[in-house]
Amino acid sequence: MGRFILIKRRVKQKSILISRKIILLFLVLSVFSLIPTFLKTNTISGATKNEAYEAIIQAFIKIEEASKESINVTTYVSKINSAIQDYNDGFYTEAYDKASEIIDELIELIASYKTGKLFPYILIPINIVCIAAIVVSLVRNIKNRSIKEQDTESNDLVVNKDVDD
Amino acid sequence: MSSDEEIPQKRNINFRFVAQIALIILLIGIIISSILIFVPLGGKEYTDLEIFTYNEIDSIYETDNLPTSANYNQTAGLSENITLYFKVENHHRLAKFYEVRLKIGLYSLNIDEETYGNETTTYLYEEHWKNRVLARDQDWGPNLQTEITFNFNSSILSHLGYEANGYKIIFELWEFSSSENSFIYSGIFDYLTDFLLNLVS
Repeated sequence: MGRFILIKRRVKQKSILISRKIILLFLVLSVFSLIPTFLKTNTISGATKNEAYEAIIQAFIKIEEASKESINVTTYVSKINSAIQDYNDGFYTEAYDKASEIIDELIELIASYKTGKLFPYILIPINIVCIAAIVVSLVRNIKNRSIKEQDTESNDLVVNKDVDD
Repeated sequence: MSSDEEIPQKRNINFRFVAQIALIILLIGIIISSILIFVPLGGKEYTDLEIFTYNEIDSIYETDNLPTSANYNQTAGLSENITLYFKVENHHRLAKFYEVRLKIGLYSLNIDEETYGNETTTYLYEEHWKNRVLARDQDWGPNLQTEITFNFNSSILSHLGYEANGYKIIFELWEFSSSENSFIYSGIFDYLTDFLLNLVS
């Protein structure tokens, strides 16, 4: 009976240890998952006029870069205009936060679009190979046809010669 | 009746000929697609700037009937308010960061695509400068956001002097240049010329 209780207690302790480990793991994971969010929302309390201006300029440069990549920037344009409005009204922190959000979002978006930009460069060698194959086949066809025509002409000549003889 | 006459003759399709035509079409298609990948489609890229006034009777913004004069109270050192609206159109492929700058100069001032009003030749009405980012084919105004209500004050007159022949109310369009990291003059402008100031006491 005493042994049975001991085993039961050990099992209980083991299960407590496991559950503690799970909770610890969960806590560690949640902390790690919060780091990118913390880094992403690059907010500061009380941005200066210069900081807000610089952030707006950087956000615009990103918008310009995105529009060069043919990304639809309408949403970001209205967001930056709201940041500009905040800046003009003297709400520098709000302007800074909005501009920083634009920068973060566009960095990710541009990076994902840039991989799509490789497509034309992949397509070009394929196009060149296709063109070369088509040209070679056409030249070969023409060459074959002319050889065939020459053969038939020479055969006709032989036949005519035989007939004459 | 011979057996040749009984069987209808099959129409011979020249597969090789069809294949050659298909190959030629494919070749043309490939060449055109290759060109299209690198040559962007679209017409001329430009920006437009216009000055408007608001017609309260018809509730419309119009480019006609722009104000030509204002009364300047010498005692108060202020003129009556002048309200104008502007419109900017971005017909560029890229988003642009514009700044519309209001400047006042003498009627004789020369403003063109390369010459803009500077601190000595014009009064820079900085409190009325407006900026905005416009996406491709986006318009800005005329509306309350592009409304500019200003007046002639003693500092303008002391800066430029009184000119009986009138003044130029200039709207210049500046755009942000990423390479220069500052606003540069776009060469686009619009102005009201010979704007008379009637001195009243």
